[in-house]
Parts: sequence; structure tokens; C-alpha cells
Amino acid sequence: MKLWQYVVRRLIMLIPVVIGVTLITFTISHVIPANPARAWAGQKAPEEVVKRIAEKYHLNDPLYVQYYYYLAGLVKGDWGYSHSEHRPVIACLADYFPATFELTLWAMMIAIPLGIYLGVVSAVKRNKVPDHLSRVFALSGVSMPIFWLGLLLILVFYTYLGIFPASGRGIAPSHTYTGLYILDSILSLDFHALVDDVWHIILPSITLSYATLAVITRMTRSSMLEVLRLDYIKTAKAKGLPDRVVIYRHALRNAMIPTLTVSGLAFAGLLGGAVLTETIFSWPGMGRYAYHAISTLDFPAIMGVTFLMAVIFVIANLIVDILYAYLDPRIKLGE
Amino acid sequence: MNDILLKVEDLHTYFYTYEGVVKAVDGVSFDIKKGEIFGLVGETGCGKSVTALSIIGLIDEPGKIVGGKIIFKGKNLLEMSEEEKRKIRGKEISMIFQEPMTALNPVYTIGDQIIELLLLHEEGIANIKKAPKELKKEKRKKAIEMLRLVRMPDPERTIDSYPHELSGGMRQRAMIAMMLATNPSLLIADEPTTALDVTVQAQILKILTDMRDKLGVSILLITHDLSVIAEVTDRVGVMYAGNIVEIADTFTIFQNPKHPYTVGLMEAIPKITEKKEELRQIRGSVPNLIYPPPGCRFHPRCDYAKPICKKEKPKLIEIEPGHFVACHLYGGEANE
Ligand SMILES: Nc1ncnc2c1ncn2[C@@H]1O[C@H](COP(=O)(O)OP(=O)(O)OP(=O)(O)O)[C@@H](O)[C@H]1O
Ligand code: SF4
Ligand SMILES: [Mg+2]
Repeated sequence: MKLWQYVVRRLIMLIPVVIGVTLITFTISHVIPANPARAWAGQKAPEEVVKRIAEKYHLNDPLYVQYYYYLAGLVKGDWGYSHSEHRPVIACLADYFPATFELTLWAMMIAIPLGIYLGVVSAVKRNKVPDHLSRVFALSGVSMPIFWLGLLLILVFYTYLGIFPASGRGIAPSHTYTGLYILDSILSLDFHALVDDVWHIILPSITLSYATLAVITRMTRSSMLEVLRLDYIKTAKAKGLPDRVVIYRHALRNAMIPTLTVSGLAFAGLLGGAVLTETIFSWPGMGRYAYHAISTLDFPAIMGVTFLMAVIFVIANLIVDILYAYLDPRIKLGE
Repeated sequence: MNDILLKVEDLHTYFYTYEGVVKAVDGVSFDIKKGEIFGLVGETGCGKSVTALSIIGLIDEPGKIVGGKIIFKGKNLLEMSEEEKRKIRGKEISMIFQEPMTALNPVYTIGDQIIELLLLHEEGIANIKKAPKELKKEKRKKAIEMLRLVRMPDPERTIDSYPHELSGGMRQRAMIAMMLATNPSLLIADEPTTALDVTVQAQILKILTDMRDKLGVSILLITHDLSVIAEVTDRVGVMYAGNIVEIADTFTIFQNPKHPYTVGLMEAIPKITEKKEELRQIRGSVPNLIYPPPGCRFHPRCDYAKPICKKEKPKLIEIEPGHFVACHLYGGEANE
């Protein structure tokens, strides 16, 4: 099967996923006995206004009709009106998603290479000092509460040392192309913004990366240990290849396969917005938006975020599967 | 003697485990002549693979070679630096393994794996990706030649296959082609046919003897299958619990075995004339190598054991030209 055929087939499979996800979020958000029209209008708004809102958003229609309106809107790019923000959901997502995406990208750029490297060193130096150090590091990563790490970093690097700022994304670049501040500031040659934005993203991306870094380290370590005892590693050594070729070319390529799954899912998970990290660092991303939407019964926003997440998960899985087939010739796409 | 390629002298390889020190190889000596096929036979766990891995220098932790010499082409491998040994591995001494299913890297083509080896030893390029295209083409030609030599069907196509696309026998051919591509002087084959079915076994053994005839490579053939020994080896060493107990040419081992263990092995071979029930087994079980029996390690199972057998380890002595036995029944008092 050709790559594009496979991608198209998998994207078609998105349709049932979309229907399933929207059906669930839609149902859940509509069986909660709350009066959204009242919530959106405000406690003191006259009954008249509440009624108008209910009518405008089909809140009095049967659920399946409401669902139909919702789906039709999704397709047309009308994802509803976010009452907590007083603007369309799509506009909110267009603002917040790039912020989260940028933060996640940086976190993964720290977590993946460093995690793989530490995992390899750990496996190769099994039960020696480097292994112990890296295991302690990984263990603290999975057990340390993220807000604690975030606050610690703020305390040290902002409060005491004053090196890095502790809140927000920094200066917006002079032109917007992608919504990713750092990329945009490079594209628009706005170096003033570039420096400021890089400075701003360092602490939150470290905070966000740590748990994933730890998981990737542990995963890589265990799969490397598994692979290193296999016969083809003995063959590679019997060929007289230097250790570094045996480890990186022969062992890691095989050991990467499980690591890849973890990384892919972690990436997708982080894109959902890390509520804690975004809150601690006042990062205007999806996590904070979702949190806010839930606490204000902003259903269109909740549904929009959930929908976007579902799509991201499916796409992340697709990318992982394609990389799988690239790394391991035994895996054939579409079989 | 000039026709000796490899001389293993009093080799000791131990594994330092939590349960204790496993004396897997405990004073093994034998030599291999140029162009001969030397068989190493013995029950499972007697130290055959450990002997082989010691020779090629692949004993990993918790194992350690704690004594002896391995003299290859006049030089003691155990005194060489890791770097020097690496240059010999895959170039002068090669090794193939039991499981052709798992001995080739599943993510690279057969060709890439052979070309990698040729680039390493002929051009000093360890990273195949850094090799110039021309050079790779040249090595690829050579790889195809090697595949043809081991009678791989359709070598021009097979070279681009991944291991999982080939049958067990074809994979073992690919392994042999790869490990002989650098024209080594010694090939260690650790149970190369055990995992294959009988007809394929015969083909692989035929290829090994052919390679010896065409390339003059010496082969250390490890097996626990006496029929394999009978079919292809020139001389045989019999191992028991970390020791060599008897060495002789293949004919002598089968016709005139001396060591009680070898005698037992021969009697355990099913003969066409015998009924199944009459098949003899050597009584007792393989000793624990952490606390091996003192003296002759075979004494708890030996019908001829004498008092001295429990106290003193018999030395390997030459009872006839070329026939060595380690047993107190032979050699008289002088050696005890
Ligand atoms: N890595 C290791 N750690 C501990 N003990 C080991 C290790 N490798 C081998 N041994 C021990 O050394 C002894 C000899 O093992 P070896 O693999 O050489 O046996 P073998 O003769 O090749 O047997 P087989 O026919 O099953 O391959 C065994 O008792 C085994 O338990
Ligand atoms: S030395 Fe003694 S115990 Fe060992 S094989 Fe000979 S007779 Fe038997
Ligand atoms: Mg073995």
C-alpha cells in the first residue's frame, strides 16, 4: 500500500471517531442539570435575555436537533460561541492552541533526545554510577508533583536569581504567521521579541518536559536492556564493530520502537494543555482555557477543546504508526 | 608446529553471579589446525558456548576470563588491547550462532549487514552511512558473490531482503556468507544447524565443508549432535562440565573412545539394530558448576571411579599420538 493511500484511509477512519467523541461530549454536557442560558447571560440578567439566548442557541429544541446543529456547525467551521470569552470558540482555539503547541514542542524537544540519551547510557552502564544517577533522576520525574517543580524553578530562577521570567509568553512578534511566537519572531526578523520569547518559554517547557522525560528514559532503558541481550547484538560485536555503532545503529534502532509510542502519546497528551503548568506560569494555552470553560459551564468551548484533542490523538497515532513502519521493516502499513 | 592456527591453553572462564562463581570453563586446552574442522561436543551447559565466546572475546559481565592463554597465529589474544581484538573480530575470527532467526538485525537488509562488515574491515569505515557510493557499490558486488558462494537462491534479489523475508536456512546461509566475506582464518559455528530441520541441516553442513575446501578456513563446530560430528569434523574435543575430557580424530572417537563419559555418549546413540527400550542413558545428572564435584568432575556418574578420582583432577594426557584423555584409568601413576 502506498503511503498516501494509507494516510487517506486512516483519515477516513477519523469520521466515526469524530461522531463518537462529539456524541459523548454533547450528551454529557447536556445531561448536566444546569441552565446554561442563565449562566451565560449572568445571574442578574432579565428573564427576557435568558429566553433569547436559549432560542438563539436552540437550547429549547430536542437534543438530537441540537446535536445536528452542532455537527453542521463543526463542518462549516462554526464551533459555537464561547460565552466565557465572548467570542467564537474557533477564535479562542486559534489563540490558545498555538501557545500550547509551542510549549509542548519545546518540552518534547527537551524530553525526547535527553530521555533517549539517558536511557541508553543507563542501559549500557547498567548498575553502575551513571545508571543509578539517571534512575534517580527518572524516578523523581515520575513521582514529583509538577506544580512543585514549577514553583521550585520559579523560586530559584525568577525570585532568587532573576534570570528567567515566570509568567506569560513574552512580547508578541511584529507579524503573526503561525501563532508560534518564537517561529514568528524569527520569520519576521524581530530579534527583540525572539530573545524575550525564548527566555519566557524556558522554565515552563522544562517543567512540562520533566515527567515525559522520565517516562522516556525508563522506557528506553528497559527496551535497550531487552535488545542488548539479543543475538543480533552478539553478531554485531562479533563483526568487530565499535561499541558506539553496536549501541546506536544496531541496538537503539530496535529499542526505539516502544519509546516512539510513549513519545507520540505523551506529545498528544501534552497538547491537550497542561493545566498545572499553564496555570503556574500564566501561559495562555488550551489547558487554562479548558479549565476556565468547565468552571463557567461554557459547553461550546468544552466541546471544541475535546473535539480538537480527539483529532490530535488520532493524528498522533497515525504519525506514530508511519514512523513505526519506517523504523521496523517487519511492519507493513495497513496490515 | 606451523600448521596450528589456534591454541587454547588451560582456559578458565568464570561467571560471578549472586548464587556464586560459575566455573563454566575450568582448564580447557585444545588446538585447531589450519583448514580443519574441529568439533566440540558435550551435553547442554558444559561450557561449549562459553569457550567459543572466550575465543572471540565476547564474554560479558558477570563473566571473566580468569586464566589461560588463547594463542591465535602465534599471539596471545588475552594480552591484546580491546582495540586490537576488535580488528581481529569479524576479520580473522568470525562467528555464527544457533538461531538464524535472531542473529541478523531485523531492521537492516542482508546486503547492508554484509556491506557494513566489508566496509569496516577493508576500508576502516565503521559507519556505513559515511561510505562513498562507489565504495558501497563495490562491496555490494562482493556481497552478492559471497551469497552466490553459499548457494543462496537469486542473490541479486535476496541481498535487498530483510531477514524476516527469508527462511531459516536462507538466513543461516546469509550469516555464513557475511561471516566469511572478509576471508577469516577461523570460523566459530555455535550449533549452526540445531534450529533448522533435517534436510536444511544437511545443506548447511555441506556448505560449511565446501567453504573449508574452497577458502581454507578452519572451523570450530560446536554441537551436541554426534551425527553432525560424524558427518563433517576432522577431529573432536569432548567436553564435560567445563573440562575437555577427550580429544582425538573423529574416526577414533567413534571407534575407540577411551574416557568413560565418551564411551557413555557413544552407547547412548540409538543403533538401528537396537530396540528403543534398550537405549542406554548415562546415569546421574549434569553437575552444578558453582560447586562442581572435586577431583574428576565425572566421578559421581562414573562406573569405573577409583578413590583417587574424588581427590585429584586427571590431567589431559596423550595416550596415543593425537589421542588425549583426561582420566585416571589411563596414563599410570606418573600422572596422578
Ligand atoms: N552470562 C552468564 N551468567 C551466568 N552463568 C552463565 C552465563 N553464561 C553461561 N553461564 C553458565 O556457564 C555454563 C556453560 O554454559 P554454555 O552456554 O557454555 O553451555 P553450552 O555447552 O553452550 O550449552 P548449550 O548446549 O545449551 O548451548 C552453564 O552452566 C551456564 O549456566
Ligand atoms: S577419572 Fe575416574 S571418575 Fe573420572 S572418568 Fe576416569 S575413572 Fe571415571
Ligand atoms: Mg551453547
